[in-house]
Amino acid sequence: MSSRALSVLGRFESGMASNVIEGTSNEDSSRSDLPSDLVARCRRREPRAQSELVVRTQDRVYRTLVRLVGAQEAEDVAQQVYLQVFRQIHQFSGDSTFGTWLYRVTVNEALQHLRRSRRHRFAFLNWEPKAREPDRGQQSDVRELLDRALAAIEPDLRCIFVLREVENLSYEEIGAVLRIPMGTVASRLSRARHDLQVRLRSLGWNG
Amino acid sequence: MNCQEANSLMSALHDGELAPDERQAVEAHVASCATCSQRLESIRRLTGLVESTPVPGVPGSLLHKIEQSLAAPAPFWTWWQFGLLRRSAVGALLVTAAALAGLLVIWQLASPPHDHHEMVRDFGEFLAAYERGQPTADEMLAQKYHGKLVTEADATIALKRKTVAPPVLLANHQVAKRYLLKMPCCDCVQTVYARNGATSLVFFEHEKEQSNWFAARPMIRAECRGTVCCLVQLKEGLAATWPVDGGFVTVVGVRDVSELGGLVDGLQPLKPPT
Repeated sequence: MSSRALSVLGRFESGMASNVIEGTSNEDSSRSDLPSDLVARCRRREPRAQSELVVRTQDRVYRTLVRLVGAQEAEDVAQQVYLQVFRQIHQFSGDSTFGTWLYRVTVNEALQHLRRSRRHRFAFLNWEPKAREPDRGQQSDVRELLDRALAAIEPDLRCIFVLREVENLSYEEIGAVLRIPMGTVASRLSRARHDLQVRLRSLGWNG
Repeated sequence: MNCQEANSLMSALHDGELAPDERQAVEAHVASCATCSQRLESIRRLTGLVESTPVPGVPGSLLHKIEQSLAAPAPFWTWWQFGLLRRSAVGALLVTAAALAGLLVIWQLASPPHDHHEMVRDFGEFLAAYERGQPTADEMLAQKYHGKLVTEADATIALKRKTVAPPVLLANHQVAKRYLLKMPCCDCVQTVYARNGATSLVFFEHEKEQSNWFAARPMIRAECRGTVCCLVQLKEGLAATWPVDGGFVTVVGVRDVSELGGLVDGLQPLKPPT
């Protein structure tokens, strides 16, 4: 198997690197997804640096969480993700890109949240919660269909599917986030797609 | 290549993750096999389904909430995590011993008259009695938690802020009585509303979120008119809890989500008494 030539995480990184501030290290730019001194300033707990890091990365974190834990819970879990990021940022060694590390924290928080939710026996009620943004007709139906099917498959498989289909990460990048071999990524993703298709068909999808 | 082999590589083919020789072999099989061709098409449609359902944008409040959390005093463990103490084994032992001793003293001195688990159980029993239509349901918590009948003005004084429970709620629910309860968590005001002579809604005002009062039942958090509410389904209607300015309210007996929306919208924010 070959990894894709253009790394999505690399794009994530290079977009962020556009705001590089003087005094950066000689770190390989393909591995540096934030201005290098931004992480250092976050380690020193500079509030402005922390806010800048959130602004630069919140789209991906929130989008991933919406698909993993649902729109109703995504904001709360995103808050937890960033609290963990700033508590643990001294543990980020630079062995992986910051984007990889951030996805890892995001996925771990989502899985913890799902385990806690299961313990508290959360369940669907027989009414439809109001969505954060107004939905329109068919798009709303499709979104609900997908959310219900995603919620029904195993959380580990859901993570792999979301990192691939929503975040467009390569198998190599997913393997780095989840610390699993690429072959395992491939087999689990195949299973995730199969399980999701079965769930979707049981909900009336004719794909 | 047979169908089983092709099927195991179909997902990676779709993602462009196969080496050239593998890709050619799978593509050749798919071109000659209607079943596998359909499988590949189904994977493509799944990707299309995901792409056709955009994710809502990041709430504008997220950054503010994170900044607020970060500005709050760091918990002890954070200080410990970064501090010099962890470098000293003696310091670690001393701190651990001191923390345990402190917890023991707090536990012995500040143990509430009814522990929290008991409160959760009592609230569950109250909900069950309410669902059965038991006439004395609204008195159950008052009997257990030193309930005292109070006026609207007394309730405001006890809460140290203006009560949000108006004399008339949702046009036709009228206050039947108000109790001041000495709950394990705080002093809580329970307002009982009646309609056509029978208890209709029961309303609680408290300092902190108490969604764990619903712990014995399936519950869900959902956004309602811009406010995140925690809800449980009752035999008829809903119970819900949500934040208001300076505290939380819990309502039992709301008819449906639409009526809950009216309540969330309609309740005046809590303000300090003038």
